[in-house]
Amino acid sequence: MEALIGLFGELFGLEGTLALSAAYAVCIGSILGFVTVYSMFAIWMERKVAAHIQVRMGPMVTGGWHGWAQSVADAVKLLFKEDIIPTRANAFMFWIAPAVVFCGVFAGLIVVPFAVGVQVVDLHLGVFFIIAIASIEVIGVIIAGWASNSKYSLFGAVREAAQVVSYEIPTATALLVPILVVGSFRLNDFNTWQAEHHWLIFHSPWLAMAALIFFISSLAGCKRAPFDLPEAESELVSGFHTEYSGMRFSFFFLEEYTSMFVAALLTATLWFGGFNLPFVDSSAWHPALAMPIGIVVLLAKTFFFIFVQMWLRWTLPRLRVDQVMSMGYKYLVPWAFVALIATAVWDYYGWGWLPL
Amino acid sequence: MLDFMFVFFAAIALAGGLVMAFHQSIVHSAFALVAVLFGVAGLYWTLGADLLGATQILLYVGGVTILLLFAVMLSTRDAGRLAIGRYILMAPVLGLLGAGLLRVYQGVIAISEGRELTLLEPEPTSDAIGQLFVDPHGFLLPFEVLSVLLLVVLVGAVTVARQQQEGTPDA
Repeated sequence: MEALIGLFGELFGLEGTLALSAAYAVCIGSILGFVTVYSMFAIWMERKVAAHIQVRMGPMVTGGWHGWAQSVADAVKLLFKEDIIPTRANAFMFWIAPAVVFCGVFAGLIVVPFAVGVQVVDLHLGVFFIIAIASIEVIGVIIAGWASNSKYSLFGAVREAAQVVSYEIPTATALLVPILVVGSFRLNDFNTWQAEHHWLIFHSPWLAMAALIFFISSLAGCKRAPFDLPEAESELVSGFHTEYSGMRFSFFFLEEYTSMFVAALLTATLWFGGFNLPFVDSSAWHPALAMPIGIVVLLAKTFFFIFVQMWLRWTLPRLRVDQVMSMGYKYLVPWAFVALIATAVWDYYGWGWLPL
Repeated sequence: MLDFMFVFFAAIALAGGLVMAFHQSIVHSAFALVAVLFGVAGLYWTLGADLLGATQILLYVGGVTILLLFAVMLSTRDAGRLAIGRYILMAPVLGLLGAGLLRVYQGVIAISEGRELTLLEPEPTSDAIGQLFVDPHGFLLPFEVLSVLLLVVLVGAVTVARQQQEGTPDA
């Protein structure tokens, strides 16, 4: 970020606020581009993973090699589709909802460190900011469900809101556990701590439990199967985005895959070493070497967790509404609190895996 | 930069507040309340209270208003047009309250007039707030009392909700 501001100063003679704004615009534009390309890749990957789990081939024709251009073709199709606004819908709310949904999730990405120095803002409140800003997404979904003026949309939105608000509690509590160990909200501190000590997943059994709780409840937060009640196709047509078509519809898709990415990224950064390689001390490396390797390592870990999310989606049946609620409130929330309190006690006495 | 952000968030909050107060449909008012709370959270952030701003977004924008929207959307028909006539008697009371608030602002402006403003670079506040919460001479007692109060409220709400369900088979 600072390097970019300096670069703008040198190249175009920009100073102060202007250089800062230009640097932000470039950073956010590049993240936006990355998210778009990533989503197209992830949709193709999802279709291939689903197909292979169900012993099919998936898309094979478009683009030649294993149908790699299928998502690109889909995106072009969505761009050219007619943009329908239902007659009885509330046009302004209908128009603004996809933007609100996408912004909430996308804003979380600006505090994520992809490698040493590859970060838009090194925010002190990193993790907390991601969780807080992601909760805006629910408002967008409610707006979408209400403005569509369709009962399927409204049911989907109500289910989504109930589910996401409930699962914010175990998500946030599970995130507090590594925060308690490292003693900071800043995402970079997690990377340096894990480079100096060990991956947090191996810190104590409670950390592993917190990772599991966070991963399960983040699945519910992304509305992924087995928690895909808000868009249950067999019951609600397609939930809160039933009435949407064309580019607006694709914004909901972008949001879903971006929130999967953020959840996988948080799991990788907070528990699985971030951009650090296992058994290799990369702190003394030259930035030109550490930067690309860090990005590749972090993305590899992230895509592994995205793969696990897809794997779970295509192997588990959908839960019922009451099962989702009892899962959240009777199992995840109490165990998240147990992990939090147990970690406080364990780290106070400095125990490892076994209390010796 | 900070000045611009302050004006930006203040504009969001003000515009949301106007829509909230004057829109006929109560659902629109509730959505405008989201904008107000978001704008105020941004103001907190620009003024250096980053933890407060993020907490405001997490709890108020992402939690409380959703419950409010639930109540409004599920309990009113046809987006609930407000019958303003019924509340016309409240107007003098609210007017007096508004006048009182204006007087307070006047006092604040009178105090701060002519003083030099020194803008400091905002520092992270989370460490200090965390220390205050566990400090026996700080806010440990109020914090614990509030937690117990909230727990009592939670148990009470569950009890009330379960009593109303009696007679229906337990799910």
